[in-house]
Amino acid sequence: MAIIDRSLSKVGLFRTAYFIARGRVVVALFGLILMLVAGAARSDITIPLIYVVGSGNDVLDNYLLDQVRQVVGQEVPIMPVNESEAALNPDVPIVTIGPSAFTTALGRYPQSPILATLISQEYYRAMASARSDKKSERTVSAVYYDVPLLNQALTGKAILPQARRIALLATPKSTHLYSELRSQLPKYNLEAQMFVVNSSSELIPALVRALYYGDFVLAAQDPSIYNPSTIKHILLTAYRRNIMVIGPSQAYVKAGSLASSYAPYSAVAQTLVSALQQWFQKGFFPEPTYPTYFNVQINEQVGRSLNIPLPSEDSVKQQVAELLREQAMSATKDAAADAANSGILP
Amino acid sequence: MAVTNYSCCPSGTWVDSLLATTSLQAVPHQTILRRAPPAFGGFWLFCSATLLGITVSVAPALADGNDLSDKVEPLPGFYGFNDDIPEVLTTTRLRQPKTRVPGSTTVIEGNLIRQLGINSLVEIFRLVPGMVVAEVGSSTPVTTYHGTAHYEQRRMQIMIDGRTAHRATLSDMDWQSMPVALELIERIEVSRGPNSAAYGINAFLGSINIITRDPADTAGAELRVMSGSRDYRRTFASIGDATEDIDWRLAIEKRVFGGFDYQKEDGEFIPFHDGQNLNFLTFDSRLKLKPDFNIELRAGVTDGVNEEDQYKTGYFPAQANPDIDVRDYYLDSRFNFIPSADHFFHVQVSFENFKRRQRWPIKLPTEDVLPLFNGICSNPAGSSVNCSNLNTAPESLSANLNADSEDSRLELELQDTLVLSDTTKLVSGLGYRHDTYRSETFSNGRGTSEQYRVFGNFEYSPTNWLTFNGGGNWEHTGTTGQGYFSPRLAANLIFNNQHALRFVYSEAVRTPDSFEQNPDYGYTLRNVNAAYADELEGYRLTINDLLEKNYVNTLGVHLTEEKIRSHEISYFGQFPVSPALLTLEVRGFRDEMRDMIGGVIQFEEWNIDNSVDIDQKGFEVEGSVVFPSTTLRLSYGYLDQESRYSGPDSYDGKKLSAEEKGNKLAWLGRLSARHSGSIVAIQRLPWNITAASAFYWADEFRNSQFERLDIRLAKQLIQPRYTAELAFVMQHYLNREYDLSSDNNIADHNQFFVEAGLRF
Repeated sequence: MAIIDRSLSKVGLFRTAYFIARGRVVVALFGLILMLVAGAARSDITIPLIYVVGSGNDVLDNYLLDQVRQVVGQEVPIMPVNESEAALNPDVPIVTIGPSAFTTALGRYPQSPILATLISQEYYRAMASARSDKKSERTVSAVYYDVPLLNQALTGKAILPQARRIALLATPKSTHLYSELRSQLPKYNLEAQMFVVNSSSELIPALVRALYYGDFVLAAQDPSIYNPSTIKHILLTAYRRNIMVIGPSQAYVKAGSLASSYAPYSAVAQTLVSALQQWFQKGFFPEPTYPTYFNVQINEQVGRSLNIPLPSEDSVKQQVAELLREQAMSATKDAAADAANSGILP
Repeated sequence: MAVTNYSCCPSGTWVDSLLATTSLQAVPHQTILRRAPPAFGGFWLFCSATLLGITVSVAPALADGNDLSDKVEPLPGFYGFNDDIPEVLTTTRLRQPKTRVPGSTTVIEGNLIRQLGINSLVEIFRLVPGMVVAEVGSSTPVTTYHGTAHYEQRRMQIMIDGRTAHRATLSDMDWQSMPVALELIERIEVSRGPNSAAYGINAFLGSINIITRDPADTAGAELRVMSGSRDYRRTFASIGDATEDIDWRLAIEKRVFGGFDYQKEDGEFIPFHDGQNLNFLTFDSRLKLKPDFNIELRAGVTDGVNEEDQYKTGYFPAQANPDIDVRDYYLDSRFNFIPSADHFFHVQVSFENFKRRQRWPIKLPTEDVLPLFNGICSNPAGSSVNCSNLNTAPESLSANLNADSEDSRLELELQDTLVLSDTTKLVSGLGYRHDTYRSETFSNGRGTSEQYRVFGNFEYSPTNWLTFNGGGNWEHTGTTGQGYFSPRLAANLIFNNQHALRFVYSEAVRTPDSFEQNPDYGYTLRNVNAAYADELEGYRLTINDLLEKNYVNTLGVHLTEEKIRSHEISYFGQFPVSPALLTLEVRGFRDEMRDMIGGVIQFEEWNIDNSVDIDQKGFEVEGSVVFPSTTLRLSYGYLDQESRYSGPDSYDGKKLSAEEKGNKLAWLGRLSARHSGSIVAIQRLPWNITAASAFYWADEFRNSQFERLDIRLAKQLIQPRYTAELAFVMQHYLNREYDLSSDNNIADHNQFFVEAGLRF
């Protein structure tokens, strides 16, 4: 009887153990299934550790990092960089949030790899020139936060298909912001003219002349021209002339710009994560880039008052993406054709 | 080194964890994930898996992206999360979209005016469907909506920046001396249809509001010169600045024009002395005292000569051209208060003075002198004259006459706009006008008249596809001593924010002006030749001194108001047909006008009275198609007018003949063209060249047609620091016949103009 008892109790124990084990397995399976079901492309990302230099605004930082966590699909070990800490593991990348964080990190940790986020292309290029940009050695890179001007221009064209001429305002120091744009525009049947402002007193006369020329005004992220104190003049003058302003950013749409493209944090996070992945897999960063997609924000009240028939924000976003895709495809075809041609030639 | 774990904490909900604000520089107090004890492993796995599952399934529902505005404080100095970007285009600053306006409005942008090379203010109105433009007298321009009389156009309310622009007492619109330069027009809003509910009596057939460019928009300098056929020369220069505290602009303009080339006099074509040479100086400014309060100050002076031809003036044969010296000035101020984003009001005070000096010598041939003496002597009023010496008339009578006048207007207006909610808006206000007129000829001295009014409009949108507007104006005027109420009711059905169907009912009233109601029209003879000087020097000739009256005189008859009732159905729609935008507005109307003042006002013939009823019906179309480099615009108006005599058959026992009645009807149809319209095409070409073309026509203008084709070629030189423009305009008159008056003759049916402009 004892043997039966012992065997029974062993069986019982085993059963309990089995059930407990099975319980854990079930739970683990359940979790795995959930993860698989829920996160399609996210189950194979591993980011062992990153340092973070914050922007000073905790809510903002947490939100962005949480977006990162959502992209990764699991917790991401994050170590905030304290001012007093000097020694950092040179294999672990520092993610900076905002321009001042980037400058700080560049200065204080010259040996560490740095990935900048929420920073404009302009700022990044100005600061990062010291480090090598050769592909296999890239230890500093960025995920830009401003919207490429071409996107903004195409946003304008999507809202006003009959537009052709774009007016640009710049100071002598910021004209270079637009040079790339001007070369890209003809492919989309658009043209732009720059109106140079030498001093603040010249802003309105230049704007007035710009409004005679352009079908709309494209505002870039240029605080010397577009800032909270000048924006009132600019928006009112353009509005009086029945001309819309696109940009400079989502925050200005509430003020009265008709529309602006913007990079949602989820898109920034996606690009950030893929850059980090590359670092951990290959040991260098990809080149600095813009986020993968942009949303559009439209001020409907202003649009109605200007008697402009407004497409939906999604529709504009899709149109812009479509235009860019078409151009990219035809560019690839051209490149392929060129390659083929050069191959044919002896 | 602290590691902060961004996943859930056992106690908090998932929402809390998303916004966990653990300090990044905190003292390490959290365990590092990887080294969690195995006992917690499964639990963590379960917890995180569940959490992840929930989060991931809910995440798409979270707005992906940047709706941080409520959650995140702006990051100072980081553009993109800007510190204090002001909300500039607030509800109260925004214009009403066309789908919500309770009526049909034609808006002509200043740019269009300049692109078409329109060279005088009145010509702009050829672009408005239903409006016609013509010249009367010595090339005096007239324009009106829906026709009616040609002289003394007084059935539309015309304003410049909200300030009434027509003359005070004669109610006349002097388009030649309007102190608005074409370069300074931002837009012109023409409200087609009675608009008394908003602008008071006198907006009988419609209203025109000329909005000049805001002084903030003309900072810099601009120069423009235009020169061409028939001695046309216009120069314009403006300079201005926009600073923190004040925006201002000073502009000068000179307009010179030769008018028509030939007039028809006694069957012959002789030169027509009907040009103008006027100078304008205007000042506009805005003092920005506080964010919620600013003052607009405007002032202007006009000085020059409006040529009049001696064969076109008056009853007595003029011996020299009775040119009019023009000296006008105005002062205009507007106090804008913006207490909140939903409420703003303004007080406008303006004063205008129109001074005209017109003096000319006359000579009455010998054979006409004795009949005149008989007339004077049989006139009871001529008792002051010693008739015993006026039995013979040995020689002609020569004297100097004048038609000097000076009238001024003081106008006050308060207008309040209150946005009560997303669906309701109330506009209300008060107005007061005080007119003073001084003229020896037109009123034998000095007189005044006053009017005051209360108005309001309530806009209510119960749903987003329906808007109701109800408004009215109650006004009391001194010329009739009565008060009048003019209502307007409108319903707009709006589809998709791009199409609207409007149903509008409105009434309006036009009261006779001071001159029509209380004339004391007489010419004082001065410098009479020696033969008659003793008797007639200083004598004031009036209509009662004239013997021949083969018509029924109505001088002294009390005039009442003209009334109009208008029914309108109109449609406005926008069709985005990529890459173009098609806009279309169609207006159908049926108007009833009663007690219209028909007849003529002349020194020698005065027979106006409220004696004509008019029924008008028709439709108007305005459309445009805008492509990336091409703009097409079309306007067309069809007007069917039926008039009937509805006045008395006799006055003072004298019966009106059928011809007289017929004339009264005909005079109120002079400008009622059955068909009128315009077609405009503007094409942008390479190298900053723009080609624009416009075709204007008006049909059945007193049995003649107006047809003209304008072509303009302009080259712009757009440099970063200045813009220059050179343009060439040609006007081709297709119809060689005069329009409206046999005096309106142009020698060459091709007219050429050259323009040069510089802006920096």
